Amino acid sequence: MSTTLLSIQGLTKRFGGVTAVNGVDMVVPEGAVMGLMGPNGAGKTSLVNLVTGFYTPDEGSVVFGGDEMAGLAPHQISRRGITRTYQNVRLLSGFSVLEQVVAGMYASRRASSLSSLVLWPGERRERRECLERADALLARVGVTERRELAETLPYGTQRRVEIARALATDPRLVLLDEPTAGMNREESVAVGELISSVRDQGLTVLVVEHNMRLILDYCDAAYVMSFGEVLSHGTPQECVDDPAVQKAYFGKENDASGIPALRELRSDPRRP
Amino acid sequence: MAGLWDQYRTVVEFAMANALFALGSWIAMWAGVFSLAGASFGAVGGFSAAYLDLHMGAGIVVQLLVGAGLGLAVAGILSVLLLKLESHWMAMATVALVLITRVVVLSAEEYTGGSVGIGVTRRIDLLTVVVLVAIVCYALARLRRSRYGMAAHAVREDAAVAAALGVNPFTVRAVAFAASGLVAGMAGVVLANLLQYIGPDTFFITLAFTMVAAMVLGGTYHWAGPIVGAIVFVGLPEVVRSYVDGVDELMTGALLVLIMVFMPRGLIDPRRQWFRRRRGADEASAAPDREPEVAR
Repeated sequence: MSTTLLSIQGLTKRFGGVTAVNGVDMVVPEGAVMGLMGPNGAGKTSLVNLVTGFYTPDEGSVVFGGDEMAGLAPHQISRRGITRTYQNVRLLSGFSVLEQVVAGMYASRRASSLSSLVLWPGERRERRECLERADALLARVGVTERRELAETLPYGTQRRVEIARALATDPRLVLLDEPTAGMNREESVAVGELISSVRDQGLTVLVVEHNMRLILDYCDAAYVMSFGEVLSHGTPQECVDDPAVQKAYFGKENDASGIPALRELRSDPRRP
Repeated sequence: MAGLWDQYRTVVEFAMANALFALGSWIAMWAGVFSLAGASFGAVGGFSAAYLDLHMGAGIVVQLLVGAGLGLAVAGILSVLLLKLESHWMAMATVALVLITRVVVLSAEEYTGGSVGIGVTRRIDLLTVVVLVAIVCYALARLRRSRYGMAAHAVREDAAVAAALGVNPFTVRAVAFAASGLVAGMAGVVLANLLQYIGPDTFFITLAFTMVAAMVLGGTYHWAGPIVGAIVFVGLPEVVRSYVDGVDELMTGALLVLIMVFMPRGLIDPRRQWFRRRRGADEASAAPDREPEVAR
């Protein structure tokens, strides 16, 4: 773990009387896979929305790669290298699978659109290169479909297409908002492997997840949020073992042994 | 045959003029901007053509260039003001713009003839109009999958997602609105030449709703939609009239309602199978097949 890529300090967002995110401090080192856990309504997605500029923070700062992001518009933040996926898949209706991914290359395309009117060779070459890059990215996330409309594909495949689209923006930090929601165990493991391969390529990943198995197996460190605040952070195992976390998740103070899911996590031999 | 052609020539001419207007509306719709302002930009083009014709005897090419330029300029300036509004308020604002246009036309008597209107020498032939429509179609077909074209579609489908992909939704919408003004400005020049007389009611609510209805009827998801829509919208009443007289308007209205009820996405829908000409695209359903699992 070397330099800090993302540093959040005192980040606060209020909606009327509700404080969705309350004074959150968070540090994501470059090249890490960071987990972000928490019960429903803990403010995880709100945090993602704040970092990507979907919400404007009321207080606090978001420093990414040395630059302040708070107050920038979403497209400016995206161009600086933060990308995201969505809790409920948001693909662009009417685009084929390939086109979804090419849409993610907007900021890196250089040829003027007007030059396409005169069949400018540079523009045509760039279109072809984009399609080739999109094809490679889709192969990497394990999607075999290309020309089908993305909205007609199974849910799990749509999530993968969304990840490919996020990677197409050429990011440094990828925020994945519940990438395994609605997936079975094998599919979740495949997403975990995909996250590892993304990290191995030099990117930094922040994963919002309910699936503790995924956090334990694939994250280097984790934060746990509850009621808009950071409840705990450390290695994934430290987070899971933290009594405060267990209380927030399971509503039990000391005796977590009665909960099968937690028992399973504790006895898993794959655990480091 | 020649008799038949003469009979329908005017119909074709007005269908093409309406197609240009509908294309203008579609260009704004491309980036998700529902605008009726095409009538206003049409007025800018139309009255500039009348002025050029009357005072300088300018030919159609000059008229079209000036109309396009003025339409682009006016729409570009207005886009900065109007696009600050949310989608449906924006649509209402363009209705207001059309109403204001009539007032402006009435008061700028020196240039527009006021309530009397102004005559225009016809300097356009059908071929020019068809070529103009073809040029716009060619440009839109080329732009469809260009950097801008994909961004426009993305902004229309989900502006927040588009922004997260690095697209500035405001810029994309402003460019679309300005470009729609360019095309509507040319359409205004064409209409002025075809009608040979324009007044305060030429570029008013009827025209605004006609171009939007033609666009919706033809389909808002492909540039061919507005053309097909305009042809049906202008042509259908003529065809119906030759079979039944007297109730033709009623019949036309009923047919249009039926088309819109049964083809809500319009006559031209790029999602439809025959259009996509490939197999197996809708084998799997888009719905999630499992409930999301909670922590385990």
